[in-house]
Amino acid sequence: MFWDKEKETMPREGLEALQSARLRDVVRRAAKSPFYKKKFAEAGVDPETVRGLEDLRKLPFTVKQDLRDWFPYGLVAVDMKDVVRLHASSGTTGKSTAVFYSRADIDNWADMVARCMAMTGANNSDVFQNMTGYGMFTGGLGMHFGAERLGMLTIPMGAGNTKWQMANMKMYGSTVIHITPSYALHLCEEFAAEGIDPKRDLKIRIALVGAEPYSEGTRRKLEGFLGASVFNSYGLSEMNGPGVAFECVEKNGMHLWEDHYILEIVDPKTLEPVAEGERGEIVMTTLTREAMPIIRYRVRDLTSILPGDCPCGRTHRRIDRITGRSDDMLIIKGVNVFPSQIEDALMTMTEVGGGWQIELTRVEGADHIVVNVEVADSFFRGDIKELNRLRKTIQGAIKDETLVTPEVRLVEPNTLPRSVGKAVRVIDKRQI
Amino acid sequence: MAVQAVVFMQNMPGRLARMTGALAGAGVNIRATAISSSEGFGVAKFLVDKPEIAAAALKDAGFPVALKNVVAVKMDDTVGGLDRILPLLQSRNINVEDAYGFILERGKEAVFVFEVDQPEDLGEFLSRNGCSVMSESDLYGL
Ligand SMILES: [Zn+2]
Repeated sequence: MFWDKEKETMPREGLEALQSARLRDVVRRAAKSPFYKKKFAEAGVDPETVRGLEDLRKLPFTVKQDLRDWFPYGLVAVDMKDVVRLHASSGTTGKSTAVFYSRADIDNWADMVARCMAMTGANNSDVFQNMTGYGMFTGGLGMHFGAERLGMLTIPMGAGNTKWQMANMKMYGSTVIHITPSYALHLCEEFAAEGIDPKRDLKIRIALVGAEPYSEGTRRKLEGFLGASVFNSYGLSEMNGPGVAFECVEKNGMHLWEDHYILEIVDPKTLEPVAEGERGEIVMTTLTREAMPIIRYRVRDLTSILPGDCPCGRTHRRIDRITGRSDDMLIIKGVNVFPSQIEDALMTMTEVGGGWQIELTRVEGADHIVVNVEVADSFFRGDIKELNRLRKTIQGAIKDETLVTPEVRLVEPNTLPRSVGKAVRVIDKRQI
Repeated sequence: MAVQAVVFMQNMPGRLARMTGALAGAGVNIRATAISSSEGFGVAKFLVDKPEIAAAALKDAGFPVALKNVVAVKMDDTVGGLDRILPLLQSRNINVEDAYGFILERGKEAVFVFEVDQPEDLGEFLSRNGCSVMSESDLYGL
């Protein structure tokens, strides 16, 4: 099912011509923001001389740190009276990033999400239960607007409240759900505990599953249990949120909407384009965004472009499952966590030593985070109660910083690695 | 005031052996030990003949160490020995943070070691009430 057949099946030549025209335009618009005005000047780029795709590689990269450094309004390229919404990442002062939307941005976003949903076979007779978080997180509202655009009856449940979720599925006969993989696995257990067989008792036919990486094995498990077709989705708040790329019924890679984004795959070390079909880091440019255009954004997710045409007829290229990240950002329970945030939380405390380490595991489908922390020699006065109080303090400090509540384990001084970098600081044992 | 060495450790195989190895290497004799553990970590207590040397040796072995005041009471290793002391503590509202006992000679003598918030007061109080509170040299020379 097509939502916008003309755009979705546009011949490559026309699509690339459209990209060229839109790139010329977006570079000029971006230059109105304080950040890009400076960035382009430093890179020696005159926005007026950018002709099209052939000049793309002359443009400087944008990184997450730029968004932090210029937080909150440094990348806004329109008059504030034309900005109608913001979404923001978790994180406290100095770590936050915010993304701004004009009315047209919200409209385009809804349209892309509607395309994605229609591509999976969802239509205006469906009942859509949206089971991801609303609010500052883009997942809830992004899918909500797209679902309404498509014409589905939309139930804005948000995440959690599993008993009520199950009741609604029964009462309203939900046929399409949007959910994170970890919550979906948890839901399956709850169904089993309540004696509900989704295949017999519910009408779910399509599950849109995203916001966290998951494996083909998890997809098969969910499909088997729910009796529904599971579709992988890709998105990130810097590029709007969900709806950037999505699987079609072929379930072989995710079509990325190239009339709205320029997609590049580069070698994370050299930043040169990789050969076709090779794995590298995603770099994206927003083509239509008004409020906050972003040029050549290093997303840091690792993937490859699937070569060849898709039997579904869409001409927008497909990216493979995300297999990792080129930097050290962790996604824990769907929340972006930087090891530096944990370091920040710990290093203000005199009771802890220099070493710390994160261990990530997946327990019953949910992420479990353990933070091992060295006790400072000088802190120990022989009191076990004091140590347990310290554990609670550390836990609270990390939660304040990252919004994730870890299990804290106290360890002996000088037993954990000192050097920075994810390789030694983070042990990720999650099987995805 | 008598002291014991209190050591922070992870609940991991080999930790105790490393501690006793460090103590033996420093020529320290262990009179008694007790271990309490919490969430993933533990605290080991060593009553030894040379507490300062023990603490230094354990620190060198990489463990956080504290010396904590204790009150040691010698009593008959017979039924009801401990029953005489506990009501005394209760009557004075003394908060026992930790306690353990060991036998000196089977059927004859036992020692009970208390970690309390106000050890000075306790020693004096127990002596006045007819308990045999051990001096530092008695305890270390066991
Ligand atoms: Zn397709």
